[in-house]
Amino acid sequence: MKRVFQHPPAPTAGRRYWRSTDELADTPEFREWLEREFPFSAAQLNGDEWSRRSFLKLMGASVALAGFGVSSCRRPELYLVPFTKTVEWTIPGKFLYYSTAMPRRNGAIPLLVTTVDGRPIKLDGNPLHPMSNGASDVFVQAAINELYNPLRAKRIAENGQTKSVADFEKYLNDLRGKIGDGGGLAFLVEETHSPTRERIRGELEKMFPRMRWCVYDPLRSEAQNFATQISFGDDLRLVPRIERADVILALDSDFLDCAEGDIASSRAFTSRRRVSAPKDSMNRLYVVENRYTLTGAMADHRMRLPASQIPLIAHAIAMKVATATKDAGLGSVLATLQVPAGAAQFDEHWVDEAVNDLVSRSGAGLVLAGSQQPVVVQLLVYGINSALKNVGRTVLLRELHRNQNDNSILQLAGEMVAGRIKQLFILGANPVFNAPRALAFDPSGKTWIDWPELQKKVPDIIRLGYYEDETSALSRWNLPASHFLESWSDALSSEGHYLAIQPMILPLFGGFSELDLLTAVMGKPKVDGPELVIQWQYRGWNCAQPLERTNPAADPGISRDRAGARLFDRRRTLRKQLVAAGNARSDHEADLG
Amino acid sequence: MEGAVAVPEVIEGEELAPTEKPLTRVPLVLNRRSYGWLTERIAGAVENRAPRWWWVAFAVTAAIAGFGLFCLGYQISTGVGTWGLNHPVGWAWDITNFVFWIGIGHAGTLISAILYLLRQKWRTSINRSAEAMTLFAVICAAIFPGIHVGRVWMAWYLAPLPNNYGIWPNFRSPLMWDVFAVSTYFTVSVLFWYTGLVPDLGTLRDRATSKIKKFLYGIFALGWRGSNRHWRHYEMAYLLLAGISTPLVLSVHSVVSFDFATSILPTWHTTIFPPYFVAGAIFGGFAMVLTLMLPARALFKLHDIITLQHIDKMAKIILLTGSIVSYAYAMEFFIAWYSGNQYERFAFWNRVLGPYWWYWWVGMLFCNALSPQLFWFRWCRRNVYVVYFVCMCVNAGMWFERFIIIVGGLHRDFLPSSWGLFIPTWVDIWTFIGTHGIFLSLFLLFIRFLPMIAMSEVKTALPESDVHAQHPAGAMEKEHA
Amino acid sequence: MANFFPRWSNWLPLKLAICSFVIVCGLTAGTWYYVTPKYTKVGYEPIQPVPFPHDVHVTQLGMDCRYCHSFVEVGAHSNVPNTQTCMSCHQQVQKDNPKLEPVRTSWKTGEPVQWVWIHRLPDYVFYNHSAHVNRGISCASCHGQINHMSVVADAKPMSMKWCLECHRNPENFLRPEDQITNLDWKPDDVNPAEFVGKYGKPAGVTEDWSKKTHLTQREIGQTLKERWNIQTSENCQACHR
Repeated sequence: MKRVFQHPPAPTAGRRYWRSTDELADTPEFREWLEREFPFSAAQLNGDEWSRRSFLKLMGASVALAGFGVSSCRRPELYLVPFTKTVEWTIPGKFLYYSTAMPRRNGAIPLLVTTVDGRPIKLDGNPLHPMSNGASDVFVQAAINELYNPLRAKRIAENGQTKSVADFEKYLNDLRGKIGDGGGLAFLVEETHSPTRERIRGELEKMFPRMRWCVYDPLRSEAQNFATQISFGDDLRLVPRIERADVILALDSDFLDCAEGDIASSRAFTSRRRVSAPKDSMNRLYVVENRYTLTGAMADHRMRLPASQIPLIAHAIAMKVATATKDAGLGSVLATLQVPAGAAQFDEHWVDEAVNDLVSRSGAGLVLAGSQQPVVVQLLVYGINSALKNVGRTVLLRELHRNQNDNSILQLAGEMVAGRIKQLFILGANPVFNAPRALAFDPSGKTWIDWPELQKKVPDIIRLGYYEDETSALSRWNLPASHFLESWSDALSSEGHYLAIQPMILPLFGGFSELDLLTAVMGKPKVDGPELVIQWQYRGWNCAQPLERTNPAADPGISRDRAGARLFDRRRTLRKQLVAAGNARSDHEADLG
Repeated sequence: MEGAVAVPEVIEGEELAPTEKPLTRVPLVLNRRSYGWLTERIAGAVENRAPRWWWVAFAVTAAIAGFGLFCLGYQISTGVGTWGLNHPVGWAWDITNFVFWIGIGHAGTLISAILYLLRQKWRTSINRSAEAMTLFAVICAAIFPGIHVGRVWMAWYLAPLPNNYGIWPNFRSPLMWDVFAVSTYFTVSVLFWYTGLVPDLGTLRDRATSKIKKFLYGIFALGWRGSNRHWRHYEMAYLLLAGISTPLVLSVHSVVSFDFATSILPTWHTTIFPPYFVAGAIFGGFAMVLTLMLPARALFKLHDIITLQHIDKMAKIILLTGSIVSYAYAMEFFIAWYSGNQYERFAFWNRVLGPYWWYWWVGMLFCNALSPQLFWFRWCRRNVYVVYFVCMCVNAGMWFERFIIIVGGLHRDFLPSSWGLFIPTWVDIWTFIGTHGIFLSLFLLFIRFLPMIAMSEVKTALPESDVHAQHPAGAMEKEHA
Repeated sequence: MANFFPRWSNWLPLKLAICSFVIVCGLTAGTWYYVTPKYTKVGYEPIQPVPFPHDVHVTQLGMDCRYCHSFVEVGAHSNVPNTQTCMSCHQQVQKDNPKLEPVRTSWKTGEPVQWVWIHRLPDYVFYNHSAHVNRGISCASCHGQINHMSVVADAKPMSMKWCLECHRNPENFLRPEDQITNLDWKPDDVNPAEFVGKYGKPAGVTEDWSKKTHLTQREIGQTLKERWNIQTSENCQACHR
């Protein structure tokens, strides 16, 4: 059957034309191919028993069999892949629970973290801690997505160029020589209420006595702190006891929203809205606000009022309360204030009823002002609470160590515009994006300038950021920050409970924690374990009792789910202890107030 | 037929004039048409070349059917998300269309079974088309429960087959009975229709001119020879089938109504639903029979076979069933008020004044309750234009009624935060229009290839077939002569 | 034109009916047999990276199932042993056996051994080992006589119907809790007097079972079912969560 292709013979006379580019090239492969009818392997079929027909027949059959019966119907093979070495406490398919805390501007939230095979997958409030009782909020729930966010900062960069850890260490060692006594050194940090960070800051201040430490948060209220200081003294803060109040008046205070208030406030408020026995009473909530908030939605009586009018209504309420109670303190506060001009634009009757209610429940009322309200409103509210004998009953004074050396971002801006800041460490905050405008007056250009301009005046800016964001773009060095689920730290709750923060997982992208960076600035070696946090315990801290007396470093979690019954027993006893401790603390606080 | 009676083409006023003599009736076939004339006229519609209007109509309906089938394919391959179903309206056009089509099928069975048992001879002119229409409507109806489950290849779960899962369908669910009821109904209807066709298929076979036609009609005629024995067996079988399918007329739509009546939704859990639905189904079915027959009568010049008397009788049935349905509507409102149940009351106020208010005012009140009331007047019953107008109203109104019952019960959830309206997608709309295409295409094919009037049965209504009847004077004299 | 159809066509409908009946029955029977897990799953015996002989380890050496499958009583998932478990013996025993090379490689490199998954349920089925082995269901009920298998093969169909066989009648499968990992256990092994002494009798049984020469599986199962208050769920969401 083989048919040899008859290539037309090349003409013998005349000019020879090539008939294909291959013929022009005239390679040996082409010559061989020209002689063959079939490709190389097919030629092996040449022979009596292998006709083209039988070849196609067999190939067709085998293709059909391969496709139909044999290979495509195989069960897909899957594998069981165990660990190579046993991992402590891990049972395949079971969860492990660890306790930690989430640092927040208003005070940390105690958490219970569910982990699977060493990966945190779910955050919930710690059911054993009175600051949460198992509750959490949207920020807690979203934090787990923040941990695995693929847009996190993942590299160490100097002016946008990726660098190694060694490069940064070398830079930092050189920089330390230039810092000297810290005359040009400044730190811009966020509010985390971390005792250990405060301790390391103290060490830094010993090393660099002239350094500045600026706590900045776009929503942080200086007014409230200032008013507390001048009303009650330093190192104190006011803690509202909402569950004890029968009548609550909130002046532009969204204390039920998780961004501004905390979980404990919501819980305390709703505990007085649950009526299960005839003797139970409910609280009453008056809200004056300029927008519809969660707190406004819960109000029994709500008044719409522009935020600018809140000082007016606060003054009016204070006048009425002063008249009713004849309180000297409130009277003296009011005496220093000028009576605001202009007619009242609110419902007087509403205010009268609210004041009557508050006065009739003297000692069981509570007036709250939003943290964004100016100092005068805060002072008036303190005066009203004091006149109504609420302080010590529904408003408790709690000792809070407040470092007197803290700078505001305005002070820092002043230093920066004067060119006195040479080295700036920005830990976490994103001031380029959210700092107020016109922070400092530039005498050379005779203009008010914004933070981005200020940042350009500082030669060495080291930014520890969770994302490569606007501030990173204007910083010399950018370091990836580790998540709070990736690092050791600690924090205080909004009522001052000490909470340990322990890592659930190693840093996913080799990030640094704030404590890592601060120790590195001092030239100390990096600490991988909980040692820095443990040192705090040895030094002691008198503000509040630590919640769990166990060593937070040694106890890796409050529960292992290996034996459910044991867990429940332990929870029950712990809860009992906590309740007892809580009662004791409350009594102590009442005395203090 | 040697003895064919020579009669004038048209006997003036025969069908309109009341007969002078008491106890005589207006003949069911006018103008003293003979056996031969009937065969020629009816079989001729099948044997002659297709008229141009048929091709145009078939092209249009087949195109619509094709697009409807494309929508079905799109919905099956993509998922039920192509429909507008969403919380809280999880059943909308799909089940509305199902109930609409299955209701239309009822007229066929009623005409072929119940009227047969009641010896209503006038049924013979319309029963074949009505039965065919029943089958096509049930086919259109069966599409919707089949595809609304989403994974149609799992539809065999509806059948109680032993399987590897060791589980069975839930026999307590009316949705399950629906499957049995509709499939039984379809099977019996096919048998009934086909049994009736056999003698006519024999006629077509014998008259066929080409071998292919002879072969095909011959296959389906099952060797019909018209012998005495054949006729005896045939009539016994027909009677038995009529007996079997009579309860089906009542049961199928009762079971369909259980889909709703056994639930706990206001406007759904209503005990009057079974009779209300059955009456509504016959109501809608007769309207659809007239919708199809009036044009066919005009186009194929069947005025002598489908006379104004037939139309008058069907209009009376529409009036009766329409009034039953109206009574049911009123009774629903009464019960809602009388029960004192605030949810029930709200649901019915919502039906009248809620977002679907015009569905009720136009669809239920005007189309279903008021328009058939015209049939109290003889003039209206005998005017084909009025009859056609009322039938179109009823066709639309019955669809709206089902929509109001189904979506009206769902769009106002017990939880006001879940309230929402149903917004159909283009797939919803075109699937429904597509089923009309399928229905009409099948019907056009039917009138083209099968005798649309039961020749053998109509002939029994001729005076010649009744040896004891008083024959028209002319015919008698001629025959005796 | 009367005799259009030939004479033989009179019998054609009957022949066609018989033929189609036979074909439909054949197809149904074929599907019934070949397209079920009973046929497609039972006997699945893939080649494992290490030919671990269960018969040697369990029957000859007397090792308990739970030595390697250590969390079967605790977890929903019954773990396969990690390399460390293998090496705890095979550092001393058979330490140069070439068949164990993948295990030694794994121990050196830290790369786990990839065992081929045999007893695999669909993803939408939730099965909890601990709930079963702690309440009288033996390993053998689902995995067969694995103690006599030199190569592990799938012994049961593991179809939903098969699961329901036990969930509908658990008394046909229950055994005393100390015999769970004894894969050769038979109802005849039970001493009736001891058994009744330990577990009692089901309510309503007047006969003295402790005098019997042996107890049937049903008797044992009914006793245990009542004793342990076993209420097997037939609810969909028991397994399809």
